[in-house]
Amino acid sequence: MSVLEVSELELSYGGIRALKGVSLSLEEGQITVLLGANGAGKTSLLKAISGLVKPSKGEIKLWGESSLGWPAYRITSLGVAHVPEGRGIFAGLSVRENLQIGGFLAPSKEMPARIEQALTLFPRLKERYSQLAGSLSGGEQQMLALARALVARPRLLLLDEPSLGLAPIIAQEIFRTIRQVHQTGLSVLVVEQNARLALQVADYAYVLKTGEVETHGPASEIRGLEQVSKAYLGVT
Amino acid sequence: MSASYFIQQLINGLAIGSLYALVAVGLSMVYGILRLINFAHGDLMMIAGMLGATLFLWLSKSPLFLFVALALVAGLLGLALERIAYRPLRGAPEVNLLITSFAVSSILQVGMQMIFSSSPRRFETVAALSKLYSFGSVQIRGADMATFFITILSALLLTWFTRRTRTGIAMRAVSENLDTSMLMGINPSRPIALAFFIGSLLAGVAGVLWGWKYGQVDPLFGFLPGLKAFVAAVIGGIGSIPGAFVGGYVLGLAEVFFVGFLPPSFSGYRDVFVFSLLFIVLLVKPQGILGQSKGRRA
Amino acid sequence: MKAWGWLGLVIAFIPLLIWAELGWNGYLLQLFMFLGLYIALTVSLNLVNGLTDIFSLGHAAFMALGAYTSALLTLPLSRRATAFPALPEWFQTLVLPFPLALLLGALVAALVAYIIGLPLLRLKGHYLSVGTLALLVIVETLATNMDFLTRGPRGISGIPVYSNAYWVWGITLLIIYLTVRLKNSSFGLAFSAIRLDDIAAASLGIRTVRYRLFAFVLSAAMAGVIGGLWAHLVRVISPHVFSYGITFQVVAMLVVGGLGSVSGSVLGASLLFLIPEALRYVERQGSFGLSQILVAVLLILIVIFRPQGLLGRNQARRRAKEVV
Repeated sequence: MSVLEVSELELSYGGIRALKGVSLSLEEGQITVLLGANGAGKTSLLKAISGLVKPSKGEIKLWGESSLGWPAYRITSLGVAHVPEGRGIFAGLSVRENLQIGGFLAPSKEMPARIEQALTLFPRLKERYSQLAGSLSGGEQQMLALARALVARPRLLLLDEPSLGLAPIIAQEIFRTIRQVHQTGLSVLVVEQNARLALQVADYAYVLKTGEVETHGPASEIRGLEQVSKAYLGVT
Repeated sequence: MSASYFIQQLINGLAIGSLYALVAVGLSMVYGILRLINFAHGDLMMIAGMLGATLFLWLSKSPLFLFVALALVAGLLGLALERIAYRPLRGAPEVNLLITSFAVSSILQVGMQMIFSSSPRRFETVAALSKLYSFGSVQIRGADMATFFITILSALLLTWFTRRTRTGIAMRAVSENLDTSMLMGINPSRPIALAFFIGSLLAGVAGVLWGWKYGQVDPLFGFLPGLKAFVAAVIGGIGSIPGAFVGGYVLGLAEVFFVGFLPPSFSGYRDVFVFSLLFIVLLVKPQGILGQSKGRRA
Repeated sequence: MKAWGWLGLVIAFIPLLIWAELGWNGYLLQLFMFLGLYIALTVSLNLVNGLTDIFSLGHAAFMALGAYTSALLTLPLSRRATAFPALPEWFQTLVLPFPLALLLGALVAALVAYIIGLPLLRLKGHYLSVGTLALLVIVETLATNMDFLTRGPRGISGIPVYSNAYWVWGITLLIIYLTVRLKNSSFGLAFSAIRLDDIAAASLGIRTVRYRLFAFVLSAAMAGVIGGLWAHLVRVISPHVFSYGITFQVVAMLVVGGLGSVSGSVLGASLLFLIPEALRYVERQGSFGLSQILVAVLLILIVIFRPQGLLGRNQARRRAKEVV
């Protein structure tokens, strides 16, 4: 059974159609990358999956159950964690509080262990534990956003441009960690501008163009496609 | 100016500042989450005061019971208003919320006038609260001391609640970013209802304390203090709970010192001073003393 | 509406006004004039709150400025020395004709709007609304305390009655005309652009600050004239007349009619003025306040179930944060 099944999804803001019938499916335990230019509808698709925006048409199934029209907090409780565009950390809360909120739905008894585990993935957050999240560097904020999502122990992780605005070395570190947590069986759907980096870790890829799926296939195949190389990998 | 005059003014400022602070907390919490300026907030204080003035004779045996009961009534009323008037407007333009709160305020004021008439009512007090206690040449009324301690206690409790409990942290998260907090699994209706309940409860507390301090209440007494408490919340940094307390005290002290150190003929202009202060804060430092500077606060 | 359409409307109105002045009883005539004033207030507030992104709660302050200015400048000399002994010589000897006094009232209101508007309009959204409300409190407090000029809470009485149906409705029609013209002009288009997206409008070269200020000042001038007409109709003014009560009333009329719609303002003002008036009879039987509560409940219902108002456009305005 697939983790996520999106079919014929349509979504508009005002009069603008952001998604024009997108279908995609995610296999259990895979990393799937969503490629596409700005405005292709990648962020809208993630938001629709996590319930932040309401699609006008189509169907979304999580683990076989239709989640269409559910509020975001209810979708979260199914085991979906969405790290939004721009990280979405709570700047006025401390690192500790951000992590605690990440585990809002977790039993309080488990909290210390879960936070401890998230911190072992990102030791730098440990040093910043009681600082305000707003005072962290961009890379640290991205780590915090990821760690916070992991405290929820999700079954499906949605990542929106985790490498945006980060130094290449930090971006690689983030992707290494994504790879690492995925090994525990977590399914990941990641939107990424840095196609080269993303295709290295991904199992499968979708390419979105102006609200529609242009092509999709195993990451190794997509890497070889000429139009993808030209458009997203900078190969001429 | 003598030192004792200064200290006396300081104490007066802390007393009135405490009341502003108690009212400002609810305004600030609700604004922080919903971007709603709740004009009806001061009227919850008024309702607690009016009910207190009416019921005291029955309950005079136990002022503490009256105090708690009235605070709870105000809290529950705030909760009900959220449910009836504000919740249907989630996601509507900001202005609609503003207008609704104005309408709710009008209903509460006129409703109380219809029930109790618009004439002032005497607010009974107990000897320990109306007594003046002397410390050297400085005198403090019992009610003012009670007000000050209750306010400080509320500030400490609320700070503990928002920093140390899961619900409290969730409340701050919702106030900072509603969408992201939903992604954490928080159903925002709960923190919103809680903010209304706590804020209204403290407004109710302020209503009883107001009655004890001034000895009388009327159906219109809540509106202007409500507005001033909003000024206090803005000064302290709207959305911030510690900011509401700081802003309340800054405003109370500024107001009392303005009146206390200028010729008596200026005392009528105190509201001009208070609202000019609001102008200045809005223009110079709109994020307030303890608020975070953020584009979306505009 | 074309120019001849307006002309036709005015010509059609003239017999009505003559009939009202000559044939109606005092109560009906008063009602008719107040209706005009409320319509004018609502339409002039619409110029700011409906057409721009400003939501002002300070309209009554400009009314007060106009009312006091016009009342003081036309007050009979016999009353001045006793009521305003502290005012200078020229004031004790100068009585202005009514139209000039009205105009000066408008100018004072416009001038204050300009001076306050320069810094105030840098604010946005709620903060701006609260700023305008602060202006209202300040003006009211000043009027209550500047005894030498305003006679404080006692107010000014003995203001000569100059307002009649011609004046009131003439100016009301003028305000409606100006507002409609502005709405359909390039100014109006710029306003809609600003309202929909401040930053985009600014990047298109629309000077938002200037346009907002223009609307704010013009609307204040209108409120100033209306305040003057008001004073010369009721004969007695005091600070609390121009306060939250009337502010709330006019905002309610505006919202019920529909923000941005001029015909909506006329309808909203008419409904919310006439319904409570009809209820006065019931109120006199002992249920004071019923009409106010009714207006407030009506307002809440409209805001919840028909947020664009009765005749308002249904368009996406800036939204509060989406919840659930």
